[in-house]
Amino acid sequence: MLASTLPACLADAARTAAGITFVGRGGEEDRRSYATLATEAGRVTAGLRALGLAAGDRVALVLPTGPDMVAAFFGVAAAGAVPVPLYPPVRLGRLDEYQDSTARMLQRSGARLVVADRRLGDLLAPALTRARPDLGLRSVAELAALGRAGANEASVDPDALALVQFSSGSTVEPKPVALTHRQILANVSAVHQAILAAHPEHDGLTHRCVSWLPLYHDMGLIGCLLASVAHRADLVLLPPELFVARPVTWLRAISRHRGTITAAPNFAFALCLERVTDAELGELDLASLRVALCGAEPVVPEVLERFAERFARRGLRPEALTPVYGLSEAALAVTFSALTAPVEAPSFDAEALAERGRAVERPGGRRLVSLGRPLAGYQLRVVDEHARECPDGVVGRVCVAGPSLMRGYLGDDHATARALTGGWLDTGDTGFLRDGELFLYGRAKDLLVLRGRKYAPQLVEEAAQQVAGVRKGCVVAASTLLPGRDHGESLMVLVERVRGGREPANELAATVRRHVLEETGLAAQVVEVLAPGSLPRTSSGKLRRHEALRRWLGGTLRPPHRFLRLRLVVAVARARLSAGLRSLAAP
Amino acid sequence: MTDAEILAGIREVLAVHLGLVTPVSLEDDLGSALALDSMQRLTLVVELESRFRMRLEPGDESSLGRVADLVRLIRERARPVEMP
Repeated sequence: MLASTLPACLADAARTAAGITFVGRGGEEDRRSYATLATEAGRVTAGLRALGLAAGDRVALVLPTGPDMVAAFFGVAAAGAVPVPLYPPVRLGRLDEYQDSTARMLQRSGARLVVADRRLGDLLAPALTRARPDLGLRSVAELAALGRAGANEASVDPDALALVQFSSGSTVEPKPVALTHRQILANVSAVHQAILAAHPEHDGLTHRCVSWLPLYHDMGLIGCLLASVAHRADLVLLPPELFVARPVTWLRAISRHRGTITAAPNFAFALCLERVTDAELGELDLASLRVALCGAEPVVPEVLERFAERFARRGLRPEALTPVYGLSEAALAVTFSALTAPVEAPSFDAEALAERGRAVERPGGRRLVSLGRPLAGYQLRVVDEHARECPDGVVGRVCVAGPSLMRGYLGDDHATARALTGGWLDTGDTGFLRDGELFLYGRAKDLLVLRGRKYAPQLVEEAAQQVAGVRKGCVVAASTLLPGRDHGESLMVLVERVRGGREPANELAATVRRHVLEETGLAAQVVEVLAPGSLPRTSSGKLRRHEALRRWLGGTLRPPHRFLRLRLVVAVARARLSAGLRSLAAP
Repeated sequence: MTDAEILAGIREVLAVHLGLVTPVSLEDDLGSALALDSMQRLTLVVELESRFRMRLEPGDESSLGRVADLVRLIRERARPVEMP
């Protein structure tokens, strides 16, 4: 039985010997018991009280993975206030975009205080100047020094806000997802129940999670940190940058700590396949791993299959790899595929899917991964544009119901009403059901999903438009799975050239690619230069990103009729001319 | 450590860990010349830290424009290796 609030969960965990091992950037380890972390969190709570923070106030956390982040998170929660984890600064990248998005997120969450390392002070200053949190910026050490020891813990209401996490497209239009203690713990409990049903704990098996996922991301925060605390289980946390630079560190930590549970987006598995060398492989022992959840972005079946095959030699159980589906609006997880069977990825007729939205099994077609069934207490349905339920095998919008649906987007009733209707959450994802199992196929919402992180397409489009030779307002950015690209969805940028533009298409494309990379840190796999008027628009002149992507994939993205006709006339004339020349030249 | 040695170290990290053999010079702009995506930038930071035994904090990087600025930062941060 779980406690009813997050601080109460930490208090329970503090009575056990369990704790968190923090791996540093250099690989060094620092283990803190939950008892120690609870004491550190208590100091933060006391400091927040001394500052005059009230229940329900939001506190932004810009902290790297480490004991300070955990102490700050639980310290804020124990004060009855609401933690708002935010992305730390990009590394070696352009800071103006980071400062803009941080300012927007501070404003949208209404944060009164920012907790960050002092060294980030200068860097965060422009965002603070714009958002003006009235209590400013404090480090964890400063908060701890402010408080009086022995401050009482507030009694926290399980139905009070426990977390604001930013969802989709957070850089341009940040949407703060508001979740209560009860909602988060309902999700954590459903996930735990599913894992225990498949892999019950016994004398030889105690679950222990190993994760490199950032703690400002739902899968890292809720799925790994909060779940481990709630179940008083040991946890090993690596900094995300260590994993990215040296993927083997993740697998090494699983081996060394006998990890039984881990989670990561598809790209992480692809990165391991690419970067873990055969020499490094030899030192690994993955036999302890029971569950490796794969979610947060579309799953490429071949990646998980190759991962299972390559690491089987090091004891990896094929059934450990488990594709899952979820979203921050539902706290985290919604469906799990079978925990005791290998990945299932049937093949479907690609044309029937693309043209008619029908899933027809056909060998050699498009393979889609089964994301399994809803967790206990959750329901799933797929609906058409009239909100009628689709039969099995028909693509529609995926809707979810369950005990962890967000209370709403903080301070945005309009967006909340669009997402939540009659207890159902419209996920904005499209897909179909087959015998109760979920398969995703595309998205109804405009969103880039790259390496497990979501971006608004406008971020990339704005950068591409700045390039001379690109028609202003005539750029579409989209992401999709492309054959042969294992790291997940590829970023594609479709740009129209200016009228009369003479720059060769490949040069213009290279400039766009470089500029997008510089401005956003995102590498576009495809940049397509199109004739003016090629991108489809609505009657009111808005770009139709989906339609553009669909036509590009189908090879039918062309300028409208008048352009086409002209081109056709020229082509026919050319053909006639060359045929005439050939006949002239013939003996 | 001289600037030339640091530059050579940066080139080595780029070649070994990121597969980039483009010749970088001190005057190059960090963003455009290296054309790294955000994951490659993270990798560069971690590998530079390990190569030069120092820490780069996000706060220090706000002043980085050219490769020369990165070299200067590494020079300030890198601890001389203590010889027994």
